Amino acid sequence: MNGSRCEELVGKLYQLLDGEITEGQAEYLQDHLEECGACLERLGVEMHFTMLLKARCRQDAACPDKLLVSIRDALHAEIKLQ
Amino acid sequence: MDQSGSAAEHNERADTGLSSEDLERFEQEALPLADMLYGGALRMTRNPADAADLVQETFLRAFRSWRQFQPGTNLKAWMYRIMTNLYISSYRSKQKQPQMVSAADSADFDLYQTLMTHRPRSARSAESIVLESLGDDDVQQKLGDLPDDFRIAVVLADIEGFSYKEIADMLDIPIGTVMSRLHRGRKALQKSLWGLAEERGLIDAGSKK
Repeated sequence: MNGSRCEELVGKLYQLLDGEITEGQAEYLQDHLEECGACLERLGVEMHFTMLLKARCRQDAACPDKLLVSIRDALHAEIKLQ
Repeated sequence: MDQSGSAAEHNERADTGLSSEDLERFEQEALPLADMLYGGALRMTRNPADAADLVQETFLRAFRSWRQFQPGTNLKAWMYRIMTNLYISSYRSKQKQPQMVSAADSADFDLYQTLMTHRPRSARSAESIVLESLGDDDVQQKLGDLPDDFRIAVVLADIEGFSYKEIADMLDIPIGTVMSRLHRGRKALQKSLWGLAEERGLIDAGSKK
């Protein structure tokens, strides 16, 4: 395990996970991930957490019909005002 | 968003020059986003009545600014920006803040290290046991308990899938601030979910680091 490379990975972990990183930086980190099981597992843990969070919160309640009607009414009132 | 306030603003507002063609196009393009916005509003306000008010006001504001929307750009992000700003500027202050998870204390929480301490042979299997045993309500409750700034960042990035840049534009903050709020929000959430798992006896709290 290479300490400084691991630290670099930890520092950029979320950017890597979020795809908010340059291609060059991603390749550099990938090289490290190929040789460091701990960092690979760390990445897996964070990825899994994010997926789980999304799955637990993603089931959207549909916008209630009553609210849709009320929105439409308000929008139409905007036009009539003019 | 009390009714009298919005009604007064309504009457004072300048003529936006919107036509029924504008309305038709707005209804076609923006109304299909109602479910998504309502879901987001629920995650921000944490209750259906406030979420409904927030969504209604968001559509009204969006329609009044409709001519400023540039066709071909991201309508979802544009609507979300209006909603987020509305929530932050006029709504949040009226709400009772939830019991705060101290995000400052969570910044250093390291889920991976914590997992390794409990199940050194496989952090991933320990994580699965813990996180997959917690239900939708547990996760949503703990997300709801995060301080607003962190919660909004996590919701926008992890649940709604916006980029750092989109979030920075929406909240009018630098990308570095988005990253730090997201980082701290995720850590705080991980820490509180881990704490919940311990309370439930899903993890042996005795072996805690």
